[in-house]
Amino acid sequence: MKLTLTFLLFCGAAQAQTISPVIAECGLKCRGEFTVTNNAVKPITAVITPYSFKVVDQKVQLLDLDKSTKVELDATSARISPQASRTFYYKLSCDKEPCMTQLVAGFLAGKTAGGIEVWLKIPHVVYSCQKQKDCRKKALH
Amino acid sequence: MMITVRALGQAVHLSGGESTLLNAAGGGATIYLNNQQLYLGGGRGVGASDQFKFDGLDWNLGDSNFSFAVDGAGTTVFNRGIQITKKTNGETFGAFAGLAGISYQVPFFSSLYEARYPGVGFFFQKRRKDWKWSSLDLVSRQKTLVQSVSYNGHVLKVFGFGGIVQNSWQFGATILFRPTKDLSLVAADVSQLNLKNENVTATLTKGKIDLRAGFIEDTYEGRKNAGENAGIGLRHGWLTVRSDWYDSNHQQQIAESLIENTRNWSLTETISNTNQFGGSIVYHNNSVQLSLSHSIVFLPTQGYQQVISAGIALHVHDSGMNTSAYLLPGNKLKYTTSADQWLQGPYEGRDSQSHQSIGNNVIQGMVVKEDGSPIEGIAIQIGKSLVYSNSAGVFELRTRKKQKQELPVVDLEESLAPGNWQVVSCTLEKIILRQIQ
Repeated sequence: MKLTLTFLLFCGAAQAQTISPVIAECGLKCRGEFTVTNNAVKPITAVITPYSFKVVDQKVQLLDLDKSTKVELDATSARISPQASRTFYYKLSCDKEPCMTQLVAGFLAGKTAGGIEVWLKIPHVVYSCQKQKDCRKKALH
Repeated sequence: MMITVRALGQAVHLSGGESTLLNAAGGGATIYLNNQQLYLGGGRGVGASDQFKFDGLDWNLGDSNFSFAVDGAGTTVFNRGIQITKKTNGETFGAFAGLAGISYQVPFFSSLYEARYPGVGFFFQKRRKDWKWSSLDLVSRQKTLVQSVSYNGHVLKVFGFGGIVQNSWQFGATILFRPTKDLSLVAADVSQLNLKNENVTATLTKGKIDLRAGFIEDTYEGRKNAGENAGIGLRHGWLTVRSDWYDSNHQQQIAESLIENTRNWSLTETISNTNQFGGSIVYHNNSVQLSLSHSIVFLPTQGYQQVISAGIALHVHDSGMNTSAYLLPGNKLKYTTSADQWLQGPYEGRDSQSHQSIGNNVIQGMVVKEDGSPIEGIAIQIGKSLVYSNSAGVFELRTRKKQKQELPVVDLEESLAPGNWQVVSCTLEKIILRQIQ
């Protein structure tokens, strides 16, 4: 057995799941898409839940989807292969502005036989206004 | 090597390349399975390993290593044989036995060659709050007893290792001191085999101004080399103006630079006191990175030298390619080029395809407990499709063609929700489950 001097190459590899884009701005009736990428080497199931949200004291509060907001997703769940991506398409319509919606992708990160489960949740945030430009800025003011 | 590949694997990673800079050429393939990882590669020598979990232990048959590292350089034990590791909360204990030799590790393959010394070894790691202790003890023709400790605090980070390596003393240490968020001091001292290196760098960033000063001295195969550097930068929006001074081997260089940074581009134009123009241009987006640079770097035995490098990196879907070329002092051209490819193997599971058009035909329902609270992650089979309930308990299947109204079937084997469940009732709109012991 021998010890050697080596120069180690450190290559950081992201192993978590990612979503893009994180933020989108659109009109009160719009179509959009977001892509969920599985950077791990095992297949994973993504479950999408739509929420309305508001910002109080600079903190996000998730709410049940507002009755004035309608979200149609091409799928609300999908199995994603290792190192693969899945694009979710949606139609969003809001009756009033500002309309702030989160499409939250959930991945089960771990569970025990005792019933404890850990979910990793990452959102795709949609700001809807009559005029798309600077919608996020207007909605958060 | 034990190969129990039930299928082609959940994912296969292929890589290969050639490097005149690292004096290597070869490739490798890694097959990822549920609880097993197989690797076969080679170029200078052949590398193979089979990692899997069995009986609560991590097993590694074939090539494995155990490393101590400090400031990019380190000491590693390479073993060709069997390694067994037991991990508990904050503690790792392992043992290995077999033959070992010098390893060759480059980004596109790793291998072991000249394996000749039989021996047995033990390693131990313990974490507690910000502290981590490691120990490696090896009984072979040449004895090795190395210990390391690291502290990862908010203001202070320390890493050090020392001990007998191949019957001779070696040590290394790095200290990072950050008393405020603006000021950082880094000092490193490494003494190993034919290399001894000491360096200190201080960085102060205050608003738009940053100041940097450093000292480096190395002795490589008996040849000593030292250098100092200092610099100041002023940043305003996308534009940075820098002035840097370098001194090594009684030669001084002063470089004035303009740096422009945008979202995808970074441009640098430099002029030095020897009337040499330099610069760099870097473009990057999610899948492409291009770079061309003319920079001053500290090279062992040569001090601060101007180096020209060019690189291209592509990443499209599951394929990647990296090529870098360097024009070193003395007009020596060196390059490294590699490519990699991820393949999706068949696995136990069902994919769903995305459709850009959103179907108008909807089958929707809810999964709840008997008290009406929603259950997330229950798999529901509707016809040939598998869908999952979300955190509101809602499951949904959209199709472009009208489907026959089929009764949803709960697939508890595919479900993500933990625990054991029993179906109480199942209708098109609502599925009620009960958790059982």
